[in-house]
Amino acid sequence: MITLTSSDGVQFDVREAVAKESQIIRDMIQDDCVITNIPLANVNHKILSIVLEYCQMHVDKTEMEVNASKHQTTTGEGSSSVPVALKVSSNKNLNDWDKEFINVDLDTLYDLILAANYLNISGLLNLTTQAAADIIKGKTTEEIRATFNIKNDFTPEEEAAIRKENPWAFE
Amino acid sequence: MNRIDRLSNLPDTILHHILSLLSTREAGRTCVLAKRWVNLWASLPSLVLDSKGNESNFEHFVNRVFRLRESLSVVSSILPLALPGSIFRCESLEELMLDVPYPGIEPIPDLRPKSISLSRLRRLDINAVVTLYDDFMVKLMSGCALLEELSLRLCKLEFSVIPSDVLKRLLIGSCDHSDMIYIHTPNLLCLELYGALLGGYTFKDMVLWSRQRLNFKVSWMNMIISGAIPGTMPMCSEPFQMLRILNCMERWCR
Repeated sequence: MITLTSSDGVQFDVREAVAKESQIIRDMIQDDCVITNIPLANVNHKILSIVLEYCQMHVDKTEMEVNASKHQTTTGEGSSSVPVALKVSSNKNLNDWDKEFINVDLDTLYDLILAANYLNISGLLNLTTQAAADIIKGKTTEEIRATFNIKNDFTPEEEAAIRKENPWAFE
Repeated sequence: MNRIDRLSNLPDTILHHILSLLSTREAGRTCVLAKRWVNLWASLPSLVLDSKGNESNFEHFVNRVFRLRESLSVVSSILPLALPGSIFRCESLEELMLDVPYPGIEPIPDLRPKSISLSRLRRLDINAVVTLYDDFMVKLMSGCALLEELSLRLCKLEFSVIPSDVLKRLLIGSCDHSDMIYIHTPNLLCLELYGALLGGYTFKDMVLWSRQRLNFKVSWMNMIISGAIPGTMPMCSEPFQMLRILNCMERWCR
């Protein structure tokens, strides 16, 4: 077991496999195998618990697939010590779960993107950036500004000039 | 309501990641959102350029992209018949893929850039119904000193020689040529030829080749290979049958 401590001091005990979904934690553990407590200065407990929910789910699914041919005798070790509820029926596939998982408000999405980037969890980074891209897709400039609260700091003349400079993009 | 714009505050690398999931056109449109966004899209590691729409707008755009960019790994593009010359003078380009759909008209367009200067290019794929002449091949080989991989598909080949000391992989597939092509590439490691070929190939410096562990994969129809190949060249008379011959040079050279 590994203890991860959030920026606001909350401790999470997770299995090594779950923590190792993060590339930086994987590197730390490899460099020094006696590490058992890792402070994460850039992730608060709210976001860390969501991140760990993602890692737990993906580790569980992978292990389930690996064990699919064997008979399943998972007791003890596999039980969740992460304070997250995996309310997922086993027949749902991981993509559906991901889709539901990433259905969060924008603030949480930003935090998840930054956490995934900081912890270097490529699956979560892809999932969260894809969610952001999906929000941008199909929207007009005005709609994008409104959705993300982007302040237009161009003068109307400047904006017209930029549009004129990039006619291909605005066809 | 006064929410903070957290999207714009994300680091460039993350915004690039997000923009790369949009079409290049959609990513390009983010340039007017705010000053923060003006040139973000243009520095994306990979751009897919498509030429649908107004041709001069597209040329303008491509020229602008290459002016703004510091480096570019891949351009996979569907380009108009007149390729913007800047594509062939982008010094930072390492990989270039040109994908031109058949225009459905005769004559087949030529690919004849005025000059080629791609000093860092390692890989070039041309997947296009275009005609390539000797001057193209000469300019290509002199302007791309690092070119290791060359793939030509669907092209009409009007050149007579592929001369390169650095080329490691060569693929010629479904290309049309009626004359013999001399392949003079002493450091080639992998050669793949397939498709309906009327002309033939002459391989120069096969002795040099034989020292390498050459990966040789050929399928052909009506293809004649002749020239300085020591020993017997395995032939296949059936159309489009694939032959995989690996590390066979020793046998040929016996």
